[in-house]
Amino acid sequence: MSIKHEEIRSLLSFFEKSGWEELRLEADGVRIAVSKNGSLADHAGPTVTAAVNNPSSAAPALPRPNSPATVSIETSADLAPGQVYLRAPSLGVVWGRPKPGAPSFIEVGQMVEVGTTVCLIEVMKLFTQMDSTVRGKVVRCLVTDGEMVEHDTPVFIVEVV
Amino acid sequence: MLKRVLIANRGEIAVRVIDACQSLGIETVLAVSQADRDTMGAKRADRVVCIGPAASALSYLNPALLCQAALSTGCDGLHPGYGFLSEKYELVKLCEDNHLKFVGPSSDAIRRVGNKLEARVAAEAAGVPVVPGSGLVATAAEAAAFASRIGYPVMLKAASGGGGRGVFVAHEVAEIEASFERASTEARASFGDGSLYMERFIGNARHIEVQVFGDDFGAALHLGERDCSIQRRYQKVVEEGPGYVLPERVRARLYKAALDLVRYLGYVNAGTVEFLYDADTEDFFFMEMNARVQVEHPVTELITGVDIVQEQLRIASGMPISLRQEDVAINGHSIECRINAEQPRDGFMPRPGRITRWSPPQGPGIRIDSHCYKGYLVPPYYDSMIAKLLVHAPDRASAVKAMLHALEDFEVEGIETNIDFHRFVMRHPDYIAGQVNTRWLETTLLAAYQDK
Repeated sequence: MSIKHEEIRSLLSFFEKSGWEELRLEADGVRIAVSKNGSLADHAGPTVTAAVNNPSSAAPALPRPNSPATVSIETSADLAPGQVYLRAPSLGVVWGRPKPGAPSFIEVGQMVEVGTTVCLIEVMKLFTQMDSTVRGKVVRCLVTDGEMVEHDTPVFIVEVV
Repeated sequence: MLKRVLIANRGEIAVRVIDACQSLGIETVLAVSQADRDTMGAKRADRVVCIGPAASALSYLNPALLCQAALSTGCDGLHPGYGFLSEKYELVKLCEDNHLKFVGPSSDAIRRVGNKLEARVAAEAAGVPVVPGSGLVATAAEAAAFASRIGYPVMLKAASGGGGRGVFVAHEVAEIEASFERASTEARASFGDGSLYMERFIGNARHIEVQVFGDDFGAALHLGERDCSIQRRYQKVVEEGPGYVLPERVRARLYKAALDLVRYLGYVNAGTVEFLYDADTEDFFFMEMNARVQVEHPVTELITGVDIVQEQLRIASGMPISLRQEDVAINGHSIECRINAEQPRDGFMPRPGRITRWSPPQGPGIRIDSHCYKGYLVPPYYDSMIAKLLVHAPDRASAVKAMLHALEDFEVEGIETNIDFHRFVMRHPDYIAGQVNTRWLETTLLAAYQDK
């Protein structure tokens, strides 16, 4: 597969922000179909064929046996109406507890206010708090403890109240 | 060999380092700001990590973000490119403390060479001639006292500066009194340190720099010199090699001086020792040392056939320098023009925007180092360099002609560039004759260009 995860993420982020209802992508043996309606109509809507310009033809997949970090890829299908992402304000390692053994900052199903601390983000042993930007109910956590997130990576889904 | 390197830079140098890594079988992780997620480098790297928003201060200039990104993606090396944090002690130290190999010299060497005043002291100790100058000058009165000793005209320079920034020239006492406070304030704003020192100002000077390498085994190597006299506000515009005005006897002394400094410092990896050459007296003086790969490194690559970035990666991997001094040969002449998205007729103001046509020249003897392509949006957040155009020819006269042809074939639409300005330089009789110095562009050439 010669499409990178980052390219898919960019495309889906664009789709999320656009007025489109549905997107289908076929390129280099990869097919992706996403819909904002909760279901995909068969052959409905325009087909987008992206010519993925990838000058590096021989870039192998990156094996990461020693790396603890992966980056999760969100799809727009994850966000139902009324839901928003809480996005990482900074690159760093996500920690769900103030310290090992302590209770988590929040649990799925819990209500949060604007400013409620939802997790810690660590950058080279410096910890900053990530706070909720909305009032609502935490529906899902998208990352695991100790995982690195990038700047702007979705960390939680919150149903706004 | 290093297994996986984080490239902590952007634009053309990110592409350059990624390519060198790929040639050596090293995996690549590119750190990008949000504005650089869709760049050529991002497409070529094995993996891309978004480290922050577009603003450099919140992304490329944050050592902790870069190190965290490197460690979390399993990198064992970090290449800083040029500019940004490439000569910042904090980044090198953070790498060293976290067992991440910095592709460059040690934090100690960076610190010694990065403070321009300390570098002068080291050069003197190594027996390298330095520009007559002072130690730190704390007040305008001290500065004036030194100036009357070393002779006018003088330059006030920032001790923590570099890249030609934070430099003021004074021809008499009144000018020192007028500029001193401003120079110190600007130095503090730009470099976080308002300390100043002084040097004699050499009016008819050339900027001659020597490409050097050191390794972990104590070896020191030079790859010849470059002449970078075509500058505007101390920023290089055109570079070339070899230094065509140097008599052989001067060249030999220059190389010895550069290597003496490398050995004295125990300097490891790539570096450039910069000198001012007074063509009238055949004296050369140490100016500063750059502890990184430089923008103009391809000039040397073309005339020596050595891949400088690959050599950096090898040395960082603990290998010895891959060639002996007697293997280094200079062939022909090379010129580099820095192509910027800017308008020379409007104070060289940057001109970001979307490239709608991108048709660089091609052919034997032409090299383009660029991250640009048709459709690319040149962002407003970073420097305006969009490409380096180089030519390699058997001698200087043919190189100048080849560069002029290459510039005439370079078509870019959608943004304004300095290509037309470079054509003007290449056609100018002074440049063709090689009758230039470090003030030529700003005094003679610019005046002629504005009149055109």
